[in-house]
Formats: sequence, C-alpha cells, structure tokens
Amino acid sequence: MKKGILSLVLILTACAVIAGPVTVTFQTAGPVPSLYLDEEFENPVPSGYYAELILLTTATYLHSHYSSYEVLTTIGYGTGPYDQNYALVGTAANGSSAGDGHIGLKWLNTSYDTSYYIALRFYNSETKSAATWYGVTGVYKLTKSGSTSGPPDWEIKTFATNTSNNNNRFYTMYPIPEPTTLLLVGMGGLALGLRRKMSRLI
Amino acid sequence: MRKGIIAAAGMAIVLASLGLADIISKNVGGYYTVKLNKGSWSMIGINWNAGDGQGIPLQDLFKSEDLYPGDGEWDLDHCDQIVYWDNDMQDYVSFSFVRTNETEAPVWVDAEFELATQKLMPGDAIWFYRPSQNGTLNAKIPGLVDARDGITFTFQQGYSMFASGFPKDRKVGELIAGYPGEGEWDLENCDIMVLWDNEAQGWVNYYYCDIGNGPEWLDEGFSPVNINQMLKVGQGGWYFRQEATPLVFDEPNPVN
Repeated sequence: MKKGILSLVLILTACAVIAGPVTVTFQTAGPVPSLYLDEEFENPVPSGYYAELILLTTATYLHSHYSSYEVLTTIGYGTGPYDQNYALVGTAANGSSAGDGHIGLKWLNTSYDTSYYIALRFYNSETKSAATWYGVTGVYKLTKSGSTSGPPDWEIKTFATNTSNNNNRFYTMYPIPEPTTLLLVGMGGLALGLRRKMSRLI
Repeated sequence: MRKGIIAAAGMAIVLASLGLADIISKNVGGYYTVKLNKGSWSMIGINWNAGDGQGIPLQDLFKSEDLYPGDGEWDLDHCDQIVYWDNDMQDYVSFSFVRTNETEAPVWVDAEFELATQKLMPGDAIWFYRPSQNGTLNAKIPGLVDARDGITFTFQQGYSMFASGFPKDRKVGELIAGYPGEGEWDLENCDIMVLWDNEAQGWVNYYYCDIGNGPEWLDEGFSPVNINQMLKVGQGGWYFRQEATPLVFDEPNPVN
C-alpha cells in the first residue's frame, strides 16, 4: 500500500521534472543584417535601438492588436539576470556586440506552454516613446513548456541571414498608433452606439 | 646537483604548461569539489572513476553527511534527488536520497523504491536537485583518474548529457568535430552544445557551424571559442546532435 502511494507520488514527480524553466535564446545571425529601417533593405537598424519580445496566441501578428500583445518581462543576456522588458538592437545573446541590424536575447519562460508564440518588435528609435514606426520579426512557436519546477531546460531560435535575398529580413512597416488616435477611435465607437440607441428611442 | 635542480624546474614547467600539476594534486587527494545549490538544481559532471575502472556506484558518489534525506522516513518532497538522462532511452531516470526506515542510514532509491545499483562513468553528467536549504553546499566527489588511455564518447541523434571524461579543464569543443549543417550559417541544423554554469545558474550556448572559415565552434556572439571558454572539471551540459549518424570521438587521458 505504501509503495502504491509512493509510486503515484513519484509518477507525479517524474511528470513534473519534464517541464522546467526554459531559457529561450531568440536571435538573428549571419553576415547580412536582419533588421532594417526601410523596405528597400538599405538602412540596417542602428545599434542601441529599442526592441521588445511579445507573446502571441496565434501564428499571425496583427497590427490592429498592437496594444493587446503582452510584452515579456524576463529578458536578459548570458547567464542572467533575466529582469528586463526590452532588448537593444546590436547586442548578441551573450551581451557582446552583434552589429547594426542584428539582435540576440534570452528569455526565461516559466509559465507558457507550446500553444504560445513569440516575436520581436523593433522600433525606429532608442526609446519606445520616441518611436514612430516599428517592425516585427518572424513569429516563433515555442517547442518546450516553461514551468517553475523541474530541471532547467533550453531552446534556441535563430533567424540566419546569410545571403541578400529577403529571407529573414525584416523592416519597420507599421506606424505606431497614437494614444489620441486610440482614444478618438474609442470615442467614435461610443458616439455611434449612443446615436443608434437614440434613434431607436425616437 | 645543479643539473638536478634544472631538471626538476624543467619538469615543473612542463607539468604546469600541460595543466597536469593541478590534476595530480587533486588525484593525490582523490576528490574534487562540486557546489550543490540549495533550493534549486545543479548539473554535476563526473570526471572520475572508481578504483576498479567500472565507474562510481551512485551510493558512493557523495558522502552521506553532505546530503539531506528529508525529515523522517520516505520524505520524498524534501530529500535530495538526482535526475539522470539516459542517452539511449532519451528520457530521464530519477533517484531519491531517503531514509527507508528509522534504524538504517539513508540511501539512494530508484523509481521503484529499490536500492539504486546504477554506476556513473567518467563523462556522465547528472542533475542534482535539492528542494531544501539543508545539506552541504560544497560536496566532495571521491574517485581516481581513469586509468584507460582514452574514453570513447558516442552521441546518438538527439540529446546527450555529458561532461569531460577526465579531470582536466578543456577548451569547449576540443576534440569534437560535430555536424555543421548544410552550407554556411546553418544554425537551425548544426550541432549545438549547451553548458550549464552551476555558479550563475544559467545556460551558455555553443554552435558548430561554418560561417565562412570552415566548420568550427562558435560562442553566442558567433565568434570562435577562445581558450577562456572552458568545459571545467565538474561541469556538465547537453550535446544536441542534429545528424542521423552518431557522433563518435575519443578523449585521450591527459595523464598518460
């Protein structure tokens, strides 16, 4: 009886050890830059420009959902700490220089399973608040589930750009929605709703 | 007399330059020290052997007084644990250090709660998990330098946990020519080595890739690894083999 109970405990323990905290290395590589300011791929994003890792529930990024995506906050370099909510273009995953148009980072995943996706948004400025346009890298589906228990694990996603074709080359293409624009859109919708209600009453 | 002094000095310089003096001093002591992090995981590399050349029994890997068996009997929630990756099965095997009854000393038991009889060989690596704040932070692993001329490693396609076979710090990737993928910058398909930094509690990646200079080991900044990037004694990591054929290589005994 005792061994039966212990077996159940150990089976649960064995299941738990499969998923642990996963350090995800997300990076670009290659002799050709990957991140550009223009769709002609003539101006690589300068080192020091702002970037962030976002979480998606689908394989497609939607600009209309710009403000809805969760920005991941356990980002860092090398062996940690992983306590940033941003990364900088021009820095490699170990914190060394990656050069203009390249980026690398590590993200500690302790809570998302393999149904989620991640992508990197990069901006045309050193700060998010000063940026007017942004771009998005390819969307990557997680291959390992993150957890707070179990042995540490790892996974790596690299966008390699070794030729001048457009594979793995990304550029700033979306205008950042102005906060006032978002407010006006919201107020417009509210006004439309009120007008419909009023017309029904009259 | 003078010739003797010169010869001794010359021998010392040779030993130091080969990095063997440190090994010999440790071998005399017959142990090396590893850090067993509290409340978290540690990956431990096995670089030593038992005297009979057949590996170290798990029961003898640590001194019992360095470990924590939990409170009372069968305290599986709080006792020290080992999770071992079976490279052939491509799956984890777990062990727990528990007191099975109140009169006998604690022992390592396997998943069936039987006395663990496994042996660990030089070149193996294990996860050590300590959920509590108990036990010794720095533990000594006893053993002898393997007397064989060399140790053959075989990494099947997939994941292998590994360590250096002999107690000598090695440049990362030294002796190992992996699979570089197809063409240049094939980082999606090349062999990857991911080492655990037991002090910093984080991973460090290395890639076997051709970036224009022929296949070579690269660090996370895609620079060739230098002499400062070492696989240290007691350190473990993963080798991710991406080609279908197994990777086979020999690590020569640095003492012979």
